[in-house]
Amino acid sequence: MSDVMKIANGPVMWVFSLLTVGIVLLQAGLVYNWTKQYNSSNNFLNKKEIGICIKTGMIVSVGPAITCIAVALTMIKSLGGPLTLMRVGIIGSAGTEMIAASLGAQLTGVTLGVDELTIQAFTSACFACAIMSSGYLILVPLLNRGIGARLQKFLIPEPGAKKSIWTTIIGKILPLVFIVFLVSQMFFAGWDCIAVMAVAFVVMYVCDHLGKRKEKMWLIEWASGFGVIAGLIVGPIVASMLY
Amino acid sequence: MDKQKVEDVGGEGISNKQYLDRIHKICTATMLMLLVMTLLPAIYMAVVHDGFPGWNVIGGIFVALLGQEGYSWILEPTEMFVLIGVVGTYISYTAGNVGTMRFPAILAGRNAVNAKNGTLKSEAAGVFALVASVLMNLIILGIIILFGEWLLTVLPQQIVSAFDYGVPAVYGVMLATVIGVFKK
Repeated sequence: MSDVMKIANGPVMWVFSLLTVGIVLLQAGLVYNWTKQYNSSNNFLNKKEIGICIKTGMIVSVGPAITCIAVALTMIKSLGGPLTLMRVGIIGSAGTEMIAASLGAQLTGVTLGVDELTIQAFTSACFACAIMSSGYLILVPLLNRGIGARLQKFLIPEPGAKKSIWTTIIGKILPLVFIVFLVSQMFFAGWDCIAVMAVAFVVMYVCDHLGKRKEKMWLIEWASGFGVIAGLIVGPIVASMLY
Repeated sequence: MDKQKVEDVGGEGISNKQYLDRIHKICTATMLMLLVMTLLPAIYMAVVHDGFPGWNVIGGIFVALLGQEGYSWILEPTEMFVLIGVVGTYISYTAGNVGTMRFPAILAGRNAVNAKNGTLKSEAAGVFALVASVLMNLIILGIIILFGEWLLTVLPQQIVSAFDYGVPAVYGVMLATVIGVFKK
């Protein structure tokens, strides 16, 4: 292991990394706690429903989380474990962080994964990742307090208040437009990806529909998980048949 | 939740305004803490290990990222806001993977409890699912960092190649969820 990688995997970097992840968890914990109090005082969801939301949120996240394994491992080899945990654990995704880090290193004349990492290249990569996330970290609170607070009031009225037509348009049509846009991008990724999407769609739809019809809560909770698993099984099979 | 805590924050019930006021405080404070934390490794490397690459490099990074990400810094959270709400935007832009992980988690959570969009119930359901997705992501990331290389050597190639299909599979699931919501 080179001297730079020893520093990159050293205890100080681990402390920075774990503190960063700790702040992400702290935010999630505080928001969870406060939302639970807010929910209890208004009775939006009962305990069972909260448990269902938590399980569903966890299940649906497994697929995308394991997807980053290859890029995350490349990042670990290039920049060490602590920076990978720190960067992929906040704001970006493994892919975008790798792009920012590569840009930083490249400006010092080092190509990540090809040339030997220098102290300047590693520092530059750290700066690039930090600058990339700083835009969101500064602007999201400002935007949320400004335009966000007004939009929230408009889109989600207090109980009893009149509902705007925009609630329906934005609540139903916009998510559909957004997901159709994402799905359409996958049409250019190849037949294997299209097959994966189709199978995941059918399995999720059928499980969710059956779960609601037969009042099987476990089937509703796991519907998205079954959909993702079915897609992951079909993907390599279709790919091996086609390519 | 214990009664005492509710009484502490507002008598009969916590209003949406009270709820969001504290959310703004919690999330702004934690995001500012993160801003400092993200800069610390770079400062540490520059000061302690004499790795400062020069102002021309820092300037080059800033200009390149401003060109590449400037649009996203402002427009992306604004666009996503109408889909995921105030709390969703804060957590999503702290924990990352907005389109592939946070948005699907919010949708799935709302769908699982049959919450209608545009209601406070759907907001609360989305937040619980979102927090769970943050936890799950960090657990899996921790496993990848500790055991990833070993896992890739012991898992059959077919399973490893299946990991590449996580995103299209989630998009398929999201489409089914959104169509379900649309039909309600």
